[in-house]
Parts: sequence; structure tokens; C-alpha cells
Amino acid sequence: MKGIVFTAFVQYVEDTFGDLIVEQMIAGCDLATDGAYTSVGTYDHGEIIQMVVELGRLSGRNVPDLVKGFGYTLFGTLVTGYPEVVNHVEDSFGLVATIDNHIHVEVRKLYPDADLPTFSHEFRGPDELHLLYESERGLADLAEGLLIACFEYFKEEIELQREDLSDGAGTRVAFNMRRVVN
Amino acid sequence: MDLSEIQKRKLRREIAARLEAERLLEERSRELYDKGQTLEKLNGTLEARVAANTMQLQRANAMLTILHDTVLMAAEVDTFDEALERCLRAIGEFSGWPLGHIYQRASGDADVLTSSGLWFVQNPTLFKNFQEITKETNFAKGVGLPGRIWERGAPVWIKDVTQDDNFPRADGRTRLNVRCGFGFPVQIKGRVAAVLEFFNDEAFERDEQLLTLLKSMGEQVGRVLERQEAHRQQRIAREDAERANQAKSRFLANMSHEIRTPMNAILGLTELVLDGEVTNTQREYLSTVLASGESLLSLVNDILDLSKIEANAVTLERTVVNLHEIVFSVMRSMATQAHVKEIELLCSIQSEVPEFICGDKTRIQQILINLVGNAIKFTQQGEVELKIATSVNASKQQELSFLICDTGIGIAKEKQETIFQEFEQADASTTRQFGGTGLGLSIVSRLVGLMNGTIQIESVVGNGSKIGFSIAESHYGTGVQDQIPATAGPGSIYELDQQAPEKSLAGSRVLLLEGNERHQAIFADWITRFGGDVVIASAVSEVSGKLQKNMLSKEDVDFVFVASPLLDSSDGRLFKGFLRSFPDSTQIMLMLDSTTHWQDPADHDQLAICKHLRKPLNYAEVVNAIYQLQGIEKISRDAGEKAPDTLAAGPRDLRVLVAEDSVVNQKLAVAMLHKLGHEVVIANHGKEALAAIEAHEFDLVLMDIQMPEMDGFEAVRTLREAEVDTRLPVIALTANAMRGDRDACLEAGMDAYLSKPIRLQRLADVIESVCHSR
Repeated sequence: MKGIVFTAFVQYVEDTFGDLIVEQMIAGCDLATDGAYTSVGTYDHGEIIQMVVELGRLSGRNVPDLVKGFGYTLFGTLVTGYPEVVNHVEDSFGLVATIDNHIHVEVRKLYPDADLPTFSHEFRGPDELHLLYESERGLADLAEGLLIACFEYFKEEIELQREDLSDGAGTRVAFNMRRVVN
Repeated sequence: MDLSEIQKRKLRREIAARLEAERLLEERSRELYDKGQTLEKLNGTLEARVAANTMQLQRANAMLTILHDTVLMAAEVDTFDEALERCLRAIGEFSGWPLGHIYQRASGDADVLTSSGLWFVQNPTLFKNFQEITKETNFAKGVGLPGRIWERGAPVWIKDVTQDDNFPRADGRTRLNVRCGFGFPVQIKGRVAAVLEFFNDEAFERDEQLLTLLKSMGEQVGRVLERQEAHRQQRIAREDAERANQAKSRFLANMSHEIRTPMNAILGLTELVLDGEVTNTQREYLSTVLASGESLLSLVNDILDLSKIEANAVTLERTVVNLHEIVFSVMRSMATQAHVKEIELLCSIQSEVPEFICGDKTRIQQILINLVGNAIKFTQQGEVELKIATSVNASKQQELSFLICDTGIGIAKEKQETIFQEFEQADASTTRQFGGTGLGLSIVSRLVGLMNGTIQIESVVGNGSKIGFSIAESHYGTGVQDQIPATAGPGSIYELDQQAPEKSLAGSRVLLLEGNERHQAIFADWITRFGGDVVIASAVSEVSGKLQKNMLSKEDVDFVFVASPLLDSSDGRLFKGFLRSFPDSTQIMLMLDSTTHWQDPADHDQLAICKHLRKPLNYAEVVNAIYQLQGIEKISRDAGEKAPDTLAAGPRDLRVLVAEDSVVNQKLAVAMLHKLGHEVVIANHGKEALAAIEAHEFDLVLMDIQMPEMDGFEAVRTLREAEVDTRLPVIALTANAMRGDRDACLEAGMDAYLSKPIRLQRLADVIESVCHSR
């Protein structure tokens, strides 16, 4: 997993729960990196899972909510780091539709070893978009957080329905998005 | 965990992250560097490949250019050897190989290749020995480099001739300085005709690209040479054909010459015998001999004419002639033929047709006689009319157009195109039925061509024919105006206009009694042209009707022209009575067919016919006759009606030397000259003639041109050189009817020229003119 996700995660924990929790979380995990991440590196995704689980234990909040919250902050980080991604599109559906065909293609050029989830989409009308998330890592919650932050970024009101197609494993999840037209 | 501990850990973590980032950066840089290196290497390889490809392309381009040039060159050059040599040079210069040479098969079926002696040499000293050996060495199929190329019909490459066991020119003893060699064949029609070989003093690997080029070069050159050879063969064939045709023409000319000489004797002597005392039967037989002889002679003349035209030996005379006079004299000469068959012969000339043109009188007559004669021959009833007008041709040039219309049997469409070719008649049966050689129209069409004109035919079988021909103004129209006064004679329109410029028929009323409608129209046109007023009738009742209606009064009629057939018709008595009822002031003229002898003296006197006119009418003469009757003074000369006894009017008792090698012609000359009352001495050739002139005194010499020992030209030249104050008249006799003979004769010093066959009247005339002018 790309280092930017790890640095963003550590930053999110620090901003949300404070330095102490960060240190306790890192200390409570068995990390090869000892929590020293750089955005240009690539790290085992197991480390982030360990850290989220430890953070849950430390903060007493459930893991899916934590991951969703992280996704929400991660969107802001990505937009700041890679503004061209959002400059090319007009709204959140436009952005979602470009993930697989455009964003991930570019990501692979930069990081040939990146192991990316697949996002297949299908417009079911001008105001309805269907997105299927598939990844071994089961980070559908992260995706959901990213989507919500995205809707906010474009200042759009969109209903989001989530349906797990992998018996709760979060590896194959359908997101149905419907634009609320006022 | 206290604050400092937390901060320490965080710091530690950040340092570790920075180091990790730096390591990654370093790693990435390394990677980038390596990739850059690879790219550079790749770039270098690419550049090298591009350079190599470019070179190859350039070479291929150069090869295509050389191939293209070779093909162009091969098409330009005249000989096979030249093509090969230039091909050799082109390849030598292109490849940079220092020595090139060509082996050839001496002929298409030669079984060895021999040196052609054609070389491309960059370094004469280096390959001196090899060249010597090559000159001496022939190759059979399969032997050596040339023999192998011949056998395979494809290029061969020898990397090192010293290592090659089929290279006889390298015997191991002589230093050749030759290492590498290649060559290719030039094939014509699939057979190797030549082998081009090249040598170098270094060994080279087989160059496929070059060999491919050479292969196609050999093919191209071969193909071009093939075509060239085919063209050459065609040219030879054409030249042969032209030569053969010319030979044929010459043969025909000679043959007709040979025939004319004896014909001369036959006709002349027959005429002489007829002139003497013969029984009626003999006269009949001899007349047939004369007529047959004359028709044979005219056939021979046709053949001679045609062969002269084919041999381009005909040039047209260009003098100012009276076209109307030519036309009417032709019409008159054809009149008997037409009138015997009771065919009306008519001639209309539009007023804008010039009377005087520049042209060849004899040839125009010949064309008209042929066409009008044909029209009469193939017409059984009705009329033949010659119409002359001016028109403008396709290239907007003024031209004279002649149209001969008949009411005869016509010519089928498919025959109309071939009818102008020699020996073609409309139908093979035509010859049997109508006679003729089929040469006439062919000669006519060629003569028309010489006059820058065209000839065409329009006909429907059973419905008559129209043959039209034209003479371009470029031919007939130059420099005519100035010469008219000198040429115009009495009876010409020019002369009539000079005599009475104010159109003296103005106010004259002319009554025409004529049954033929075309003749009515033509006649009326002429009279109107001179200002006269014409009333036409073909029956008495028509005139009576007009008289009754007070449209015409007999007193007003100045001239009556009456066609003789009307007087012989069932209405004849009516007509005669009608004519008699005119007052004395009315002049009556009778128009006779050439065959009619309307000479009932009683009628003549009663009708008070003041003049007989013969058809076809020359209207200028008609007008002239009217002028005469009106008292406008002019001299009328009846041309061509010379009395036979004018022979006696010439000089007599001359001493004449006849230089002539043919015994028959000698006899003829003696007989004719005796008849004219002269004394004759014979010489057999020029030398004898000169001796005779030396020994005796003569008043006149008749000199044949073609004689053994000394010909007529040389004899007369020698004679003229010897003469001091005197000049003996010499008349040339020749069977050559070629143009230019006359000039040659006069130039040699002859005084006059007689073309055989010699006729009595012509001979008398020429003798008179020569002796009078003395």
C-alpha cells in the first residue's frame, strides 16, 4: 500500500485523537517500520489494519467508523497533493467515473507495483450512478469515506446506499448513488 | 508516557521516515540513471539503424535511378552495342568496380560467347594481363563466369576467382590482379544475347541488392532492345515495301514507254495508210485498228500517269488559265458521247466563280474529262450536269467546288470508298459492261490531292451519282489578277465586260424555247447576268398564253433561242408557225445537239434563222453572238476548226535529217515527211547524225533522244558548240512523256519538242513553227 495512505492515517490519528494515542497505537502494534512512514514509500497493508484495530481498542470506537472517518480526511489530503485529479471533472459522478479508467491508470504509471482496488461504474440514468468496489483488502469503508468527502467537495447532495456483496467481508461492495435534485 | 517521551518517539519516527525517503529517492535515482543509460544505448542503436536504413534507401534510390536511366538510354540509342556499352559504363560508375567487360554471342544461335571488345576500365595498367587473356578467351555454355551466367540466365557472383575452380582465365601463372567478379545476362526473347561482367582486385561478399538490380537491369535492357529490334524489322519491311513500290512504278513507266514506241508506229502508219487509197473494207478495218490503238494508248497513258504520280514525278503547272474556256471545251468534247445517248449535257457556273484561275490546264481537263466521261458512260437516260461554285471548306479556306451530277445507275454505298483506289470499279462486271480500266478515278483523286482539294461521292443505286471535288484557293488563286489581260481572248467574259462594261443586254428581251428545265434555268441565269430579260417556254401554248394575257408582245422580243428537238417534236409545226409569226427585227437562233444536223434549207430560210449554236452552250459565246447581232463590234475567232488542207500551207521541200535508231520509227518518219513534201536522210544515232550534218546541208533535224552510241542531248550539244553564225533547227523526238523532258531538250539546244506518238498534224505544225521563226 502506498506510503501516502500511511502518512495520512498517522496524521488523521494525531489530528483526531492526539499525539499520545498515536504513540500508544504504534507501540501497541508489531510494525516492521516502527510507524516511520514516508509518502513515497510502499508498505505492507497489514500494518494499517493492525493500527486501525489498535486504535479501535484504544479509543473504544468501532473500526468501520474509524476507517470511514479516515477515508473522509484522506480525500482532502489527495486533493491537496494531486489537484489535477479534481480539476478535470465537473462533479463527483465525473470523478468517480474516472477512477478506474484514468486515476488508477496514472497511478500505475508512477507506481508500477501499486496494488489497487478496482472500481467499476455504471450510470443508471443522468442522476444515478452504480459503483462496484472490489479489493482483497476489504477497505470498502475507506471508499465510503472518500465518496462522502467527494460529495461535499463538489457541494452536492447525493444519497448513498451501500450493499455488501461479500457477506460482510467488505471485499465486494456495491455503492448506489442518487443525486438529490432540488 | 510523558510528553518528552512522545516527542522523542515522534522525532525518531520522523527521522527514520526521512532516511527511508532519502534511501528510496536514491534508489529511484539509481533506477532512473540506469533507465537513462539504457535509453541512451537504445537511442544509439536506433540512430545507427536509421543511418543504415537511410544508406540502404539512398543506394536503392541510386539503383532505381540508374535502372531508369538505363532503360531511357536503351530506348534512345541506335545500336545494340551502344546500349550495352552505356549500360556497362553506368554500372561501372555506380558500383565503383574498376573493370567491366561485355561478352556477346556473335549471332542468335552462336554456341560460344566471344569478347565484344567493349570495356569499362578505371585502371588500365592493373588489369592489363587479364584484359589480354579475356580478349583471347571464348566461353561455351556453363564454362567460366560468362558461361555460368549464360547457362543460368541469371547473375553470378564469385567472391574470389583465385579460389574458384571454374574460372579458366586464372591459370595460376599470369598475374591478373583480379579477385572478385560478378556478371549478369542480357536476354532477348528469352535467349542470352550478351553477358556483362565486372571485376575488382579485392574480395567482396555477395551483394544481393546489387545482383537484384543487375538482374532487372538486364531484363529491362533486353526488353527495350527487343522492341527496338521489332521496330527495326518493321522499318526494314516498310522500306522494302516502299522500294518495291517505287520499283513497280519505275517498271510501269518503263513498260509504258516501251509500249508507246511501237504504238507510235502502229498509229502513225495506220493513219498514213488511211490517208492513201484503200478499199472501203480496208478502211473499216484500219479505222478499227486506229481506234483500238488509240484506246490502248490511252490505257498506257493512264498507267504511266498513275505510276508517275506514285513515283512523285508529277508537278502541276501553274499558269493563268481561263477556267470557263477549259470547262466548255471539255463539255463540247464530251457532247457527242452524251448526245448519241440522248442525254442532256449541262454546265452551270455560278457568277462568283472566277473566270481566270492559276492552274494546270491539262490536268484540270483530265479530271473533268474523266468525271464527266464516267457520268455519261454510266447514265442511260436523263442528264449530266457539271456545277461549279465557290465554297468554304472545313478549315475556312475558299475553294472552287465542282459537282458532277448524273441520273445514272449509281454506286453502292460499300463501293463508294474503294472506288478511288486503283483498278477498282463499282462492280467486276462493270468492266465487261462499260469498259474502262478503273484507273481514271484513282488518277483523278490523286490529281485533286495535288491541287490541295478533296473528292467525295454521294450516290444511291439506281438514282444517280454526285461526285464532287474541290480545288483550294491556295492552289488556284495566286497572282491571277495581273495576268488576265494577257490571257483573256475573244469570247471571254473579261473581254465582253471590256467591250460593253454597261452590260449591253440591258433592255433586251430574250425568248427561250427549251424543253429541259435545268437548261432553262442556266440559260436564264446567264442572260440575266448580262442585264437581259428572259421569257421561258417549253411549249407553244405557254407562250401563246402569255401573249394573250398581254404580258408579252412579239414586237418586244429581240431574240428567240429555240432548241432544235422542239422543232422535230410533234409540236414542231406549231413551233415553226409560231417562229414565222415574229417580225423581221426579231433574231432567231437555233440551239442544236452535237449530233443533230438540222439543215432543211427550206425551213432555214422560212424561219430566218440567223445563227446555229451547238450545245452544250458556252454562254459567253452566246452573249458574244448577241453582241454581234446588236452591232457591238468585236472579232470572233472560231477556234479549233482548222481545215485539213492547212497541211499544205507549211514549208515544203525541206531537207530533213532524221536521227532515230528504231527502224519502224525511221519508216514512219520518212513516210510522214514525204507526205509533207520533204526530203529525208536517216541517221541511226547521234554520231552518224553529226557526220551527216558535216557532210551535207540540211534545213531541219528530227532528233530522237534515246539512241545508242550518242544520244540526242549530246549530239545537239556538240552541234551547237560547232555552229558559228548559223543555227540548224532541231526538233527533239521522245517517247518520254515525263515533265522535265521538254526543259531538258530546250536546255540542250533543241528548238522544239515532239512527244511520241507523232501525229501528222502536230509534226506539220511544229515544223512550220520552227522554220517560220527562223
